[in-house]
Amino acid sequence: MGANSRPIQVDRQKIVLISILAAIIAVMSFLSPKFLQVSNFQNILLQLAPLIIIASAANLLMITGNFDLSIGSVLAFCAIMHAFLSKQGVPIGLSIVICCVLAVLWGVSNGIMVGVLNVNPVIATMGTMYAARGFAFLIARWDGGANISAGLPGNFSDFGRTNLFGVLPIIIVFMVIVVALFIFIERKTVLGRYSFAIGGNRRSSVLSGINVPGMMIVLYSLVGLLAGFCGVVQVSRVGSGFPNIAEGMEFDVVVAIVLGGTSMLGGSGSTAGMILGAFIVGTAANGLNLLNVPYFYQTITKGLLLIVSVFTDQAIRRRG
Amino acid sequence: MNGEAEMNSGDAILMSIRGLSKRFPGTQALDEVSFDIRRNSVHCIIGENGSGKSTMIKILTGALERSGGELSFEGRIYDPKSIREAMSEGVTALYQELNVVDDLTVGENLTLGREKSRLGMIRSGEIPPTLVENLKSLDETIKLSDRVGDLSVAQRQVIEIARAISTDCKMLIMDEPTAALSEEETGRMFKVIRKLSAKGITIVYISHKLSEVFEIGDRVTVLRDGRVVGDRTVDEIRNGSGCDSESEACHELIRMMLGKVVQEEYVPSRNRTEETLLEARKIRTGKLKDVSFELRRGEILGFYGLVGAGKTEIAQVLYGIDPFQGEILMDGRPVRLSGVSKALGAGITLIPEERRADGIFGELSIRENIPMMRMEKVLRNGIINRTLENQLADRSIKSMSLATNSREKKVSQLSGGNQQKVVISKCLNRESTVLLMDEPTRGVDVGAKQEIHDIIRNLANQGKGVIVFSSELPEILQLCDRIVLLYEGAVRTVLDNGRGLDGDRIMALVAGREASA
Amino acid sequence: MKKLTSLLLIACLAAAVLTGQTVKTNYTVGHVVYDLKHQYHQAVAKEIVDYGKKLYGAKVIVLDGKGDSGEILKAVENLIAQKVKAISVHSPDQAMTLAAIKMARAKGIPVVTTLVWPAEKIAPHVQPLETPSSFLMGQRAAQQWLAANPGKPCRVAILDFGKFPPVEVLRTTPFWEGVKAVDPKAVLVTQLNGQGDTTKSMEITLDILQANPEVNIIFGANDEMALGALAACEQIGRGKMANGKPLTEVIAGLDGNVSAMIKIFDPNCSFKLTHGAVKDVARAEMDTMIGMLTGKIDPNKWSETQVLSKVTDYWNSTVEEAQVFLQDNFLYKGNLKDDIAKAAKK
Repeated sequence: MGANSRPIQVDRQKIVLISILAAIIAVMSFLSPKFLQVSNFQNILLQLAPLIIIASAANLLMITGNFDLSIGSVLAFCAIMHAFLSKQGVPIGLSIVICCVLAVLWGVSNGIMVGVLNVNPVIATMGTMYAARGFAFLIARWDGGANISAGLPGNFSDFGRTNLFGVLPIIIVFMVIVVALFIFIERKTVLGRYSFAIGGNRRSSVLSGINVPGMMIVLYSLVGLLAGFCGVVQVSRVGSGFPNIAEGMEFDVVVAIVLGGTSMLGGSGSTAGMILGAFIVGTAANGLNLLNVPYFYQTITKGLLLIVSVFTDQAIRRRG
Repeated sequence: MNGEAEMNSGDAILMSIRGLSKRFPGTQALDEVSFDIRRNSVHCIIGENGSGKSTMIKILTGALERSGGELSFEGRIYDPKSIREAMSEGVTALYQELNVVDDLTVGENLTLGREKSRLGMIRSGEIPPTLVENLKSLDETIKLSDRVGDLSVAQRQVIEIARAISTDCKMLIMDEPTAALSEEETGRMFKVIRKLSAKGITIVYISHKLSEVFEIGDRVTVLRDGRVVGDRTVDEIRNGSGCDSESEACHELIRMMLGKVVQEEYVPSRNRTEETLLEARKIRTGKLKDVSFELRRGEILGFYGLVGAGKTEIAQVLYGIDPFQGEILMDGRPVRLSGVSKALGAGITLIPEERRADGIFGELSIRENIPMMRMEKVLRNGIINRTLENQLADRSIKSMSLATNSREKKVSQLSGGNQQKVVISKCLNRESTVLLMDEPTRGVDVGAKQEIHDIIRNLANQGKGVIVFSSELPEILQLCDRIVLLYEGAVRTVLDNGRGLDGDRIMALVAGREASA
Repeated sequence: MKKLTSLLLIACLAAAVLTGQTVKTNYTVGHVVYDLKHQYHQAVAKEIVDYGKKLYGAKVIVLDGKGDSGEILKAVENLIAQKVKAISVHSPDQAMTLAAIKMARAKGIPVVTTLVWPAEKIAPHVQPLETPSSFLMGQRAAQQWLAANPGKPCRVAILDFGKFPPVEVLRTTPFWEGVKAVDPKAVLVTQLNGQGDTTKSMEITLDILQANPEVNIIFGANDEMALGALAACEQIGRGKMANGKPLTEVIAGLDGNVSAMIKIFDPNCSFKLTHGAVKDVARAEMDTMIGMLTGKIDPNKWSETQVLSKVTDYWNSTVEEAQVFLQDNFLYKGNLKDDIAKAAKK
């Protein structure tokens, strides 16, 4: 049984996830006639898109055995910065580019702290989490309030609310592109291969001449970039900039990734698994909203779902 | 020591080990080991690295679970599930890494971690009188108020021993207690061991140093490749096998440890040149003392010495891991080795000693491991090309005679020898001119050992410079064209391999017992 | 009637302050904010500081409760340690507030509470009259909807802070009762937790409208949630009005900040009502603190200072009124007309 047990386990784990997802869909379809509709799945995709976009990069980062707690804050920072710049008359397109550059800088700073200065990733990115959030509030303050909504140009919301071919919301399009890109990176590029190597055996990676600090900087930058980009899209969708958006989003990202089977210690995981994980959480939340289930029960359900899924997965792995 | 006592009754046997086995993935660490430890004796266990000594200690102290076999202690079945359980039965170990806190006083160290020994209550500062007595009886120069950090290594060991025997200890296992001691301190340690023996404590003494066996041992068990290859009293060895000097007796033990000495014949490398490939000048680190040597194109250079002599340190300096003072030249030009990437850039590759920790990516397949140090080989337009990858993996599997049914097999599921071949393939893909091989065949079975040796010879014949760091003397004698002998961080001498070089003389040199030739 | 008395009260207070003793003191007092992240609370804190300094020469130490009971209690302890003369606390935790009052009182420091009264009514309190205003908004929303869509009874969705009791009493229940008073056939379709957050509310509203496309009145228990609901409506092609005539739904918020006002006075947007009071609340808090210190108000007895929470809506208010409201309450320096025009311009 030793020889090929591993690939079978991976497939089994995906089967478990798909089964859980199918069970949720079946139960929800039974309970709510509104659930099994195209428009509802578009809703679910709209809600999950920012999460999946960011988690694509964060998943690769976790495969190296690291995490980023600053995701929500960097998202908020770029959201409010985009609103601020647009209000100051910077053209929307240029403002988006500037915000993405700033997002990458947050990522680079995380990467340098973790990769070069060997600060514990939890501590380093928690520092960034506070700093970026603080700056987000500060920018709102520069504008003279708690948020930026008055004085935004009329076309501010156009970008986030664009529908491709009149039907596909732009953020869903971005999600598909980013997911495809990261499946490619994971399987076909040196970046992906090195991520698995670093997570699997960091010392071997160093001794094999892999530039581990450089890799950390690249991966943290990618996470930062996507978080910042989602911030820009979200603020554009909402139409006004709030510095407190996406609080705790980093945990939603971790939940999706861990549910998807990526080890917190690194070395294994997949983009496909992460997407399944995200859909399990997202579909459950959507169904419960459709059923008017009060928020506390929803939170309890989310917790149970996480524990049960991970437990089932572990039980299967141990048996296999 | 007390030969007469043990003859008296069936009670003479303290611990009996029957058919003890331990299997790790890829290796059989212990294979049907059986022998007895007699009450109140000093029982030595010797063997090379990887012979199974440390695995055995771990099983005896409950730190590791056995795969098979039976143990009995004082006539009862002995099956400790933890170190604590073993201690409560009366079996304690003194490890090489000392478990004392340097910043506390001797007194504080004595009570450390013992808080639960009596009804869960010992007020801090209150040291049980038996402990103080034990310490006094072992070494009266140690004061309770001394700071442990100011004491010598031997004295710190005494503190641990005092602590160990304060619980009703019947058997004390000592894992190479003299490895880090000076000659004088070693003498003091032997005195302590004799005192312990006089208190009726049985000592299991693990060592590399054969002379120690004759000095304090009553009985010796020799392990090789996880099996018992000899189990005799020291007197038997001394007198019985026709040895009339201690050095001949030593030789007898070496033969037991190493098996048939020199199965493989030394074959000089075919394309040896006088051209210097790499030269080290006065390398100095915390451990190394002005180490200088040169490596020539097409030769295999061996570094040999006891544990702690500095082999690993030299490898780490050359691979850019450790900072150092001194100068290293490649092809006559000085190079800065301030990091692994610099060393790789200069054309130096290390095949590391701890392959699980430092060499392989266990969760990845053979195919994914092999190109890891040079991904360009499998890239087409910047994208990993599966066909190229498969070809490279198949080539390596073939040229290394890697025993596997699939290139997709995870490396962690391979045997030790095959894992090592994966590591070597991975490193060879770098196509460096200088290859450092740290313990290239440790934990590898005999057949694979031979194959790896052939690979190494081949590399030298292709005109590379190979440095082999090994603690296995036969390996050094079989492989290397020239041998650098290390002793305590310094080069003792450099020998040409060939006729007339014998193991005894080398052993004497690296043990520091003979002035350099 | 109630409204009138409260107006009177404010007038009296203001008169007392303006005519008689503009007590110049050197008091240092403390203000514990529920959560400085919210525009509303920022504005209240700013007004307390400015007003206290201008009128009484008092120095106000502002501490952030970060929306957390423990943090608020810590802030009170901190102020006690700094030996302030009086404290105003804005906390939703009634038991904790009571503990804070007793703790401060033990050191001889009087406390005034705001909006959410403590578990026992033992100290002066400032009460924005949100309940009648919420009721009024419910009535107006229902009237406007029915006038434009006579055949379609009201279907209401509410976004709250998780059924938090004072919010129920002050905001969600009276709003719903206001709707019912106008349309007996109205149905409360759902009430979910928008966590006071725009993005979260946007996502939840998408789900609400999926399950219940018939929803035609949405109330967000703060402006942030109402804006999130609006963004969701717009995402799926709703959120529209024809020059103030409801087409898809009517959205109401609460607080009355600039973001809300810009939408409310856009004739083609379905966010149309809000109410709030900042300046008067802040001033009442400051006045009560000084009143307690000068012996005019008994710090150990329940007394309630009521403050009007002004309703602003598209149909009954003018942009000029809103401009004044924003300047008074939210330190607004812009020109609302210009900002509305800028936002509407494509």
